[in-house]
Amino acid sequence: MTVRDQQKEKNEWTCTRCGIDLELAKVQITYVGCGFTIDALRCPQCHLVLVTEDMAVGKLAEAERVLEDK
Amino acid sequence: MLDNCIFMKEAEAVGAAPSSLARPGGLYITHRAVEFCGFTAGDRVADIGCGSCGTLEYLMTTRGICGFGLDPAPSRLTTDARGIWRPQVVRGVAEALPFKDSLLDGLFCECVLSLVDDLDAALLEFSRVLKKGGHLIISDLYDRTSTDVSLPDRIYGQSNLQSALSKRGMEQLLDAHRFMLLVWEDYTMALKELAARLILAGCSPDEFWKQGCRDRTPNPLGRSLMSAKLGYCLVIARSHAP
Amino acid sequence: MDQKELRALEYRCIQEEPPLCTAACPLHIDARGFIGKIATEAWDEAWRILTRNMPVPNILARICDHPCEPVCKRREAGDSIAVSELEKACVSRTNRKVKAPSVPKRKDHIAVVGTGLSSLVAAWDLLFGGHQVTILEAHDRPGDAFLIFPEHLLARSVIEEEIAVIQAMGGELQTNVLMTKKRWLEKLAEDFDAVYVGLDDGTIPDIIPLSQGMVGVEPITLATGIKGVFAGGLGKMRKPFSAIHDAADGRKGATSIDRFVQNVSLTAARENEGPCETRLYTNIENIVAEPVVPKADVEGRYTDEEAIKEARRCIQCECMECVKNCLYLERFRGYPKRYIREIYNNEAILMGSHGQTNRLINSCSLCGLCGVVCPNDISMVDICLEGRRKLVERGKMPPSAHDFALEDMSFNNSERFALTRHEPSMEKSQFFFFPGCQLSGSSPEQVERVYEYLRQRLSGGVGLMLRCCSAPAFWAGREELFRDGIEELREEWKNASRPRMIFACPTCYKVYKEHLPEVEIISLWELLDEIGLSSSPYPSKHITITIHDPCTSRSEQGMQESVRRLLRHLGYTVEEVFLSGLKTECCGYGGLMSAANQPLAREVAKKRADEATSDWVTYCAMCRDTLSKGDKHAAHILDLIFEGSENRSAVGRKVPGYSDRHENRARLKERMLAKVFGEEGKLVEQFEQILLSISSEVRERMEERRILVEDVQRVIYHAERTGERIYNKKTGHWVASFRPRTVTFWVEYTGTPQAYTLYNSYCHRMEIMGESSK
Repeated sequence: MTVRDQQKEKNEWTCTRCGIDLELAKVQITYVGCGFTIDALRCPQCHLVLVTEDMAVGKLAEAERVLEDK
Repeated sequence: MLDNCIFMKEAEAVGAAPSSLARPGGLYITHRAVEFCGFTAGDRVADIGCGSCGTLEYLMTTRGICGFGLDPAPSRLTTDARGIWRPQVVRGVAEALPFKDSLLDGLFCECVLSLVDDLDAALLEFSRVLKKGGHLIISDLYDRTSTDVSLPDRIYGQSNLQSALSKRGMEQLLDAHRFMLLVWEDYTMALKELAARLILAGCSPDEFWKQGCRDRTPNPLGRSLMSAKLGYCLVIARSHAP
Repeated sequence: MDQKELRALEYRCIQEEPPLCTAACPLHIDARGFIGKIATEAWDEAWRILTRNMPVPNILARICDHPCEPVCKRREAGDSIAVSELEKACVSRTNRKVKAPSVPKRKDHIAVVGTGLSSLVAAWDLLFGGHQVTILEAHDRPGDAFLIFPEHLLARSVIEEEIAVIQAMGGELQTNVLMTKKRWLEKLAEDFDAVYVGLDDGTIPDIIPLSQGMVGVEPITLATGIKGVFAGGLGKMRKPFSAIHDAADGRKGATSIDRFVQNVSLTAARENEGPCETRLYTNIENIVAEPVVPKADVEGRYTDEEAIKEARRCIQCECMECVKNCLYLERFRGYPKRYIREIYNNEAILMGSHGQTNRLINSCSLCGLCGVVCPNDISMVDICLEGRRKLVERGKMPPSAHDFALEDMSFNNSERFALTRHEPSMEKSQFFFFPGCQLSGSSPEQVERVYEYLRQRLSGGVGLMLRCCSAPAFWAGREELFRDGIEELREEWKNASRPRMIFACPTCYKVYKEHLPEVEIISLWELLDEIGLSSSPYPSKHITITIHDPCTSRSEQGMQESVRRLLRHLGYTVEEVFLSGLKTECCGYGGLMSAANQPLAREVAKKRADEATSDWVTYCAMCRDTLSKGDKHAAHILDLIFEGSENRSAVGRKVPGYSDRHENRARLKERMLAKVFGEEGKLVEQFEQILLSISSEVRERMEERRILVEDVQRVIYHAERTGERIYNKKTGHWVASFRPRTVTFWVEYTGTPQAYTLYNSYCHRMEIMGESSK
């Protein structure tokens, strides 16, 4: 995804509780005892994070497979 | 909780934020090796394939060791050196080291051996430039699938870039050049972590590996990891050759 | 398993044993491989295989006396393969010569006396080993020993050319050598580093004293009384004459010399030289007897066509009995000996875990068919179970392999489903009906009917126990979890005053039989067979069905026979496939294969389903569901026993998805409590009250991703309660997430508490730090 695409996507999402648009941020994630940082949309106020379907079935799933050694 | 996280371990050990060194285990494995070998200021140490001098800087800042760096393309490096102290880097390859006989107390070969064309020539050089009792530190990819002990683990003298050494292959290589194996530690988790990190950052592990290794890759990294053929290890050996 | 047990098990797998031909051959020629290549017309490769091991091939292949042929397995189905004719054809169709070896030259010089077959072979082998060889011939031309063979079989020119090859390899030939001087041999031994004397030359003078036609040589090494001198090749002294044994002697002598000059043990590890036994087993049940292909040119060789035809008669002996009958073993491209090594070497040698091996360990259905068909009773079951236990012990079991099934099990033992009740208005029940979690999830209405029927027909009271028997924990290698489960079952049984347990599911039956031996058990099928379905048999329906025995019923002959009697009583004609009864195949669900390796499980199910021409009937709910997923129909026997009610055929019913199964089970408990046991049902959890509208497309996606409706309900419940939702301006949908345990579920939806619509759902295991969870 290009930066422009990311920008476009950014403006699509709003945090319902805080009423503000989500912004790109560095988010911490963990799996099987390893920690990582990814770029994801997040509410700047309450820090609610969005994981899109693309991310979940794409990068996250692939990283899980590599780490799992199934 | 993050007890598998090698970067956390690195931070603890090195006392700093995780290095930008994108190799499995970052500096943690280097730290482990340095601790084990007990290098101190005054020791003569070289880093074969020193890249951006991460290891050399680490040796200087933590142990006060002035090490030599060796790289086939040193021109990329000097711009990355920071501070007043600059590591001494010479151009060269593992198979023909520009060092005198029995000069070094320690020799680092991190993430480099799997790219060397002629392993026997390289090991011959290592054993030449190391003092008797000197330490050889290798960290690299290895082939986890080769368990069949009756097959040759690597064809020596041939540029077999498509395969990484197996554990047994490495043991044979060291033995043939009169190195005594002291430590063998598996850090495959660090390799997987690095691959996962790359995937999450949107890079393909294959592309990254190719870049870092100047297009001379072993089996495409991603696929090998998925089929779990490749692992990562730390090997420390002592030279016995007179 | 310790290393000793492992080695013993590995040894039992005979797949790597040589075929009869190779074992009987003194040179262990790979006849099977050689013939296989001819069968595919790969003559070049056939030549390569032959000459890899056969010395002086242009001579030997023409005159070999083929001890392989009398033992060839094919003779049990017609005639032995004409191995020697094939060898002859291969070497005589072209004028090909073996290339000189590119090996570094050694410094030692060996003398080879004579130019009979054993001498030529010795010289050949020694040259291939890099030794310098001088061949000493007493007469003025070499190879006269071969004159005993007719010209059409072994032409003079062939002999000369092959000897020229030896010379091209570096062998120095000296003719007219005087060998009659006193102590000639001793002097030779001094001048050279070692000597081989080929007694089969037949033309050299008596240089070694013979006594009674036997040569005074040491049988294993061919060493003579003179140090460094080896002799062999009995030639005409051997009765019957055997060229191949002379050749073997030459090889043996060369091996001894090779060791001698390197100062290495002459005797170590030489047991496999010469003909040996083999433990290989080859199944020839389906091989039709065929005679040998005749050779049109009696004095010549097979034509290419004749040779190919004959080569195709070769069975290509190997065992692979288990692999032939198991898709799982076939997929991993090996056989038990290799798998055992891989799984246990993984343990012993490497510290970490091993990706492909984990897959191997987790993909087995644990059905035990391999153990039944193996000539040496090797079963992958113990190996894989042990492998799984070790993985769990070391914390290396990949979470996504079995987690879903174990969560299902924990649901089944929770308040939502678990139930233990005596026969209504009785304090004690002599029997308890244990339908099992899968039957309850798939056909809850049948559970109700069976229970009613049993209460009608049995006296003494029939109670009901709804639970999981803990088989998933056993299959997943979770020893502690399994032991706890069994303990709970034991307690439930004791608290219910130790009734006799009736099982609908063969797996539950097996678990109790093996792990709760104190409990009196009977299968529903044997019970129904005993008490009968009606007084007289039903009229014949003129319908043929094929019976599928669930893999856990493998050793329960009584159960299997009862099922067949029941079906015949119902008026069906029962057909058997080859792999049924003791040899039954798994449907693809067993051992959690479908959980750990879905693609393989689908293939296994399809393969099994396709094995019958008529519809299937089985007596395990999972088998029924798994087999009906393809284009075959599969019925559960209960669907046939309680057929025709409610105006719908239970046989053709859809296979319920994961969410439906949970719902079926929970509802079953509620209904039983309300209707039969007269108790109030449990209050429905708040999140379960969420009403959802889900399209079939989304439902399918959820099934694929193993997302349950209740997972989605939990997310929406959480989102609505906390307000943690993300709104998409483009689509107008909300997106929310919740992580109940080890998986984060995401949901895209709209709606109000009265009616929510679900647009999409996905999940991941990676945990976002700081995200909301229970």
